[in-house]
Amino acid sequence: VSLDLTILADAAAAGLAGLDGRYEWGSAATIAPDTGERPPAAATIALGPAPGVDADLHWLAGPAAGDDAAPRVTAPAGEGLWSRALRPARDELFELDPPAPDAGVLVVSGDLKRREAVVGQLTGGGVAAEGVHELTVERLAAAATVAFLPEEIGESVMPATAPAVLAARRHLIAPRCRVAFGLLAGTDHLAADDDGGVVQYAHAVSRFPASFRMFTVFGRVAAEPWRASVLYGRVVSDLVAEPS
Amino acid sequence: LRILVEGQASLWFKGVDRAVAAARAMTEPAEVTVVAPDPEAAGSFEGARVVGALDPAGMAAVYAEHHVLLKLSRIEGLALAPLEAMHVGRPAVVTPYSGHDEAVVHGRSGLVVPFDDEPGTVRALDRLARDRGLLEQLSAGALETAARWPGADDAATAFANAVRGIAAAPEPDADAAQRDLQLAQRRWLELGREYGRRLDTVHWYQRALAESRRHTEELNAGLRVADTQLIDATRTIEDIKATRAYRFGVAARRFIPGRRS
Repeated sequence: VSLDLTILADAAAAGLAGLDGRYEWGSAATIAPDTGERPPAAATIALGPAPGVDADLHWLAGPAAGDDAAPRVTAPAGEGLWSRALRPARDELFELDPPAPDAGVLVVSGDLKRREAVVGQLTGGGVAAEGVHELTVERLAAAATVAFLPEEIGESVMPATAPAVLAARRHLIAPRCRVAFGLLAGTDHLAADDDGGVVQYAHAVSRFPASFRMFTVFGRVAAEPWRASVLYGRVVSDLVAEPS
Repeated sequence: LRILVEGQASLWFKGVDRAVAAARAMTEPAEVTVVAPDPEAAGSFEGARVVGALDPAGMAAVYAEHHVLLKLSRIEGLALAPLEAMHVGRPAVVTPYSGHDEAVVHGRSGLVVPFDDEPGTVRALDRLARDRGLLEQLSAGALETAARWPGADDAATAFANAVRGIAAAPEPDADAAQRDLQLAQRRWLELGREYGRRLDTVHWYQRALAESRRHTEELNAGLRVADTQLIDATRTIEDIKATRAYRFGVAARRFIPGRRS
């Protein structure tokens, strides 16, 4: 049985977690949430809360608040989830060119002050670094290392785009998380407890890139279960088999 | 639904705790068995039976007693338990650990659930409990997979051929291996330094905690001494109050001008 899937995503989410093409299980098309006429599909998945957007599943990048109106929600954390998971990694990311020799560290955090402080410490130590509030495929392609800052208070949640970073064979510095979704700290990524740890790891990775190369090799292996064409295939079959 | 969880719980990467927790969180009724190589060391699980140290025939019987195998490992080299279960027609619910896809195809010979996805795992198990048609379909797929899997003789021959192939091939580049080894040593040096820094911090907190405990014990001892002294003083006061002289003094105060009783 061939299953057609429509994914509703803005440009940033589509670049990291979208899927387009034909596969063994069916076909997938990623379109903007506000597209007027949607193609016929067996299931529709919205990447994001997308208020007012009708979809069979809403796949959030952050913890679900619990008051989501959507009948089925997938998120890295939260109550009443249909599934607890990170977001898929777009297939093309597995074939992304290696970073340029002078590529630096991309610091991702919604906290401008902490982000700037970490970037300042890195650039002060001679490491090229840039801060952004959200990861995009363009920023990912330009970076050698992507660092997500841990929560200052409370438990950190593994960033939903972590598989995208690993698929692209970039170094991942992630918060140390109780729930790591199969990723192994010290093997496929580096886990930092605080901003100081992020700076230390980013510095070590930038100074000795060859020594840390194995992390990107194991990281790509760890990203395989999150490959979009595999994961979406399973999810769409479940959505069809389990009507809400 | 009769669910079999295979693995030694003391090995963290086997995910036995998570599997039992998911089975216990099901809406549909379920019976859970944990089978481990060393059942004495497996510990106990509320609501689950623990068996183990079984020979191949015993393992086959345990697989056959259950409807489905639940295996939520983080890492494996081969989907051995699912393959064993499939030889008696039992499908598996697994995480996508390394090697799982050699045996488990989602919707064909089992169900694949993401790592650490308890709601998704519970949903998959409840679905199997409710939909016996799906269970039968997956069981048929499991038997097909088992029939395609090479037997011991075929596997031994293939392994011998692979080893002969390696032996006949040109020797690998020793210099490249040496370079890789040096890089690995550098990596472990850097990680070791970082670990050492972290360990220093941990030791500092351990020392601070021990010191705080000592202070707490000293304060508690002081408190106990003060309590004893307070009891003694209270008794002394009560003794004084009981004397005739004290009572006379209290009574006499009433007659001092300007004082109320």
